[in-house]
This record gives sequence, C-alpha cells and structure tokens, in this order.
Amino acid sequence: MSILEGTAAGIAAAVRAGDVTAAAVTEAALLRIERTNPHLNAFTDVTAERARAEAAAVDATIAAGRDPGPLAGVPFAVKNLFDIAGLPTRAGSKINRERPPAAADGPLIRRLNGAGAVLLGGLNMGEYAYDFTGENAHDGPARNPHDPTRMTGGSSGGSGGAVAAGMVPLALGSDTNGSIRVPSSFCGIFGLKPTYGRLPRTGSFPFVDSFDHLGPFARSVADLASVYDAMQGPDAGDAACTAWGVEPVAADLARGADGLRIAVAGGYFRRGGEAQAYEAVDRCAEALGVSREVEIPEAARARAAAFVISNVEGAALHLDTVRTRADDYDPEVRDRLISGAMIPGAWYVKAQRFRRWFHARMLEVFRDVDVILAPATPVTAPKLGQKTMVLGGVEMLLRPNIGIYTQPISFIGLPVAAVPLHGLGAMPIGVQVIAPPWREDLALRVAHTLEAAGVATAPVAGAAP
Amino acid sequence: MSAEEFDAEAVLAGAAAMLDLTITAEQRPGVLMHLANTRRVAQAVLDFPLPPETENGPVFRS
Repeated sequence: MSILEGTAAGIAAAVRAGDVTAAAVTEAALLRIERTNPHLNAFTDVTAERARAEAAAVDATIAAGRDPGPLAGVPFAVKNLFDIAGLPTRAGSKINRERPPAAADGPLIRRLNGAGAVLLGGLNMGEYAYDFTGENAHDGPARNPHDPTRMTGGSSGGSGGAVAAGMVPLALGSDTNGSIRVPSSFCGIFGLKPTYGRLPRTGSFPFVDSFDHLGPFARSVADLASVYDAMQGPDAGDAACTAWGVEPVAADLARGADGLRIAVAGGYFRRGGEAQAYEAVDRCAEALGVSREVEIPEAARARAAAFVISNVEGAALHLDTVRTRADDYDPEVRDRLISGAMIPGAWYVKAQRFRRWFHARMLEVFRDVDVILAPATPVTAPKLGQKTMVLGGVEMLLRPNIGIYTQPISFIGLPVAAVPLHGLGAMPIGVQVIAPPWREDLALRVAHTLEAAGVATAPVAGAAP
Repeated sequence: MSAEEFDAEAVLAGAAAMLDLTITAEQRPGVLMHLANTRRVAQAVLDFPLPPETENGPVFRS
C-alpha cells in the first residue's frame, strides 16, 4: 500500500522517525496526482516546485535535530478560493483568474506549513462556491473517485475528490450552506465544518459573509482533529473570527461518546430523501446505543431563510461585476446572482431576524442533548450533468435540494463533523454529527467513536477495504 | 400578493431599472425562474411572526 493511502498521522510519524523523507512523500504524491488527476479533475493547480522546496525544508529541519511539526511532510491541497502566493485566487471563476497573483498565502495555509505540512496545489470548485455539485463551467467537473461518472458534490468538489482518491490525505474547503459536508457525503470521507467564527477566513474569496466557514477534509477523525487544531487561532483580518485562544481537541478524541446525550434529528430530517440517507443515520444511532429523537424546530423555515440570505449576500458581492462581466459567469450562477440583487431588503432582514429566533430555539434544544445526528445529504452522488431527481415519487430540481439537511445547520453556524458510511449502497453517504456552538470536541468525539466501531470509514477509492 | 400571483416579469422590469441593470434575452428566462423560486421559498420566512424585539444583533467587539 502506498503511504499516501494511509493517514496523515501515519505519514507524519514516518517522516518524523526518519523512515521516509518528506521529499519522497512529496514525489509520491506528485506522481499520484499526475496519474490520477486527469481522470478526476480535482486539482486545478499543482504547485510542484513549491512542494519540493517545502519538503526539503522539513527534511533539513529533521536533519538539524529540530522539531518539524506535528504534520511533518504531510501533503495537503486547498480549494482554489484560498490565496496561494503566486497564483490568482480563481474561486472557480473565469473572471478571478485575471486577478494578480496572491501576494501571500492565507493564514490557514501558513499555519499548516508551520506545522510541517506540504502544499501540493489548488483544487477545483463550483464557481464562486454557489454550488452543491462540484461541476464547473470553466474547468470541467470534479469527478467522484468512487465512480467518475458521478458528482463529487460541491462546492468543495476537488477537495472531496483529492482526499477520496488518495492524492492527498488532507484538504481544505469552505462551507456556506453545505460545501464541506456535501462532498464529504458524496465522496465518502470525513469533513469538519467548525463553528462559525472559529477559523479565520482571511485570505479566501468570500461568498456569503453571514455563513462562510473554512474547514478540513480527511480520511480519519484523528487527522481531522490534528489539522483543525493546527489551524485554530484568531486573525485580525476576519472580523467574525473569535479572539479566543486555541482550544485543541485531538487529545480529547479518546474520551469517546461516553456520557454524551445523543439524539437523532426527527421530523424534517427524516423525510425528503432516499432510504439510504436514513439507514446511515440509523446505523450510527445503533452503534452509539441511541434511540432518542429530537425535533429541530422550524428547520424548513431555517433552510428557506438561509436560501434568501445566501441569494442576497452573494448577489450584493457580485453586483458590480455582474454589471460588466455577466457573460463570463457560469449561466447557472449568473442568473441566481442577478435575481438575488432584486430581492427586497425587508425580506433579507426578516430572514436575519428569524436566524436569531432559530439560534435561541436551538440553544434550548442543546440544554437536553449534547450531539444530534442527521443525514448530510438526501441522496448519494448523482450522475454528472443530472438536473433533476425523483424523491418520494416527486421530480424536483437537483441543485437546490442537495443541501436540504445541511443548510439549516450552517444557518446558525453550528459545528458539524460529517462522517462517511460505505457499503449501504453502491455509493457512500454521510451523516452530520452536530454539536452546540464552540463544541467541535463533542462532534469529533462522537465521530471518532463511530470510526472506532467500524461504522464510519473512509477508504481510498479503489483501494482494498 | 401570494407567491402564486407573483408577477416575475413586472418585478424584473422594475428592479432592473432600479439597479440600472440591463437584462439580456439569454439571462431573462433564468432570472425570471429564480425570482419566482425565491419568492416561493421566502414566503415561509415572511409568514413567520416575530416580535419586534427579535433582532439579528450584530456584535462588535473591541
């Protein structure tokens, strides 16, 4: 087995022990990308020379007897809305690639480099992150490593594909309405959407200020926790980012789910999807010994309000550019941005006021429960190009309905670990492990328990189980 | 006006004028479709009664 098919922790341990050099790991990753990426279209930029320089620096640090960091020599890549020094931050668009190259890396890249990780490049994404499919009109679709005729999910499609294919063990993405949790589900990997305001968004191209989050993907919960810990901390460039210090979670994983009050989300979260979505939740509940159900109040309305706010804020961000460069947008994105500029301000404010109401109700729910389980997506990965889906005998548009279970949760910024289940059907599907604000530790402890029980797994696509 | 009675054509014409935005023939069907869809989705939010003191409450820290 290639070392790349193992975990980030395994790579870092081998590099730190001198069993393999960071340079050798980097060359293996570059070769794997060269062979695999033409079929999957996960990477839009491969920063080979930079990666070789970073790996050499890690090896030199080890040779000098100094600590190379907890992620020594671990390859990673980032959704191409992150600033990568020397590259235009394209954010999946045609327009942005005309921008001057970023002068500096975003802080999350700097922090991972500081922990010894090696940046391999930028990853494909839906244009300007207004997307749940992973398709891109300019760069072509990211393809699902478990079936390249299917979607990765989006908008962090390349992030999902690169990790599921074993090109890198870690990737970063963004999640506004589900863009980490949806690709995690469709590609069968772990993802973490931290609490809104936990990680700084500085040095990334925005979409919806009210809901934008950055976060990691990985194939193990320990890796997810390690990379999350390495990225924590305030940054003056993001006014929404907490000024609190770092609250590490990796050491807490071993505490497991013991003593936690866990429930399955009922009502809204038990209808509107394929049976596999609920089987996955039930499998997790069974493994955790959970039979309790809780109602998330007004979840459908929360999704509706998230939809309105996303439409208006996204439109406002792009209005000037839409005015002059409309034909350079993906038409699927453009027409929603134009429409969003026409929505009354009073509707937007009502949606924001409802957000406060919903947040208060959810804090009440969390008085009696520590963690909530819910489906991540209503379906497994659809076929590329698919426009509609049939659920419960009703044909509906695919794009807006992929996020029905993720949108009410990111609406108020709750932390979520997305855990993948394989083997329930031909394609994997994910479950959201949802925790109260600022309690990523609880979501990750439950995710770790599900992984330890063998319920949640993230095998490299095509690799022996 | 209910979501069913919503006249997307009229909204598009008025809002485009307000925004000083020219809507091309290629953009028009998609924009009309999305306007009607957002009108329908927003109804759930608009229908929900909230007391005046329920405010978004942006917080600005030192």
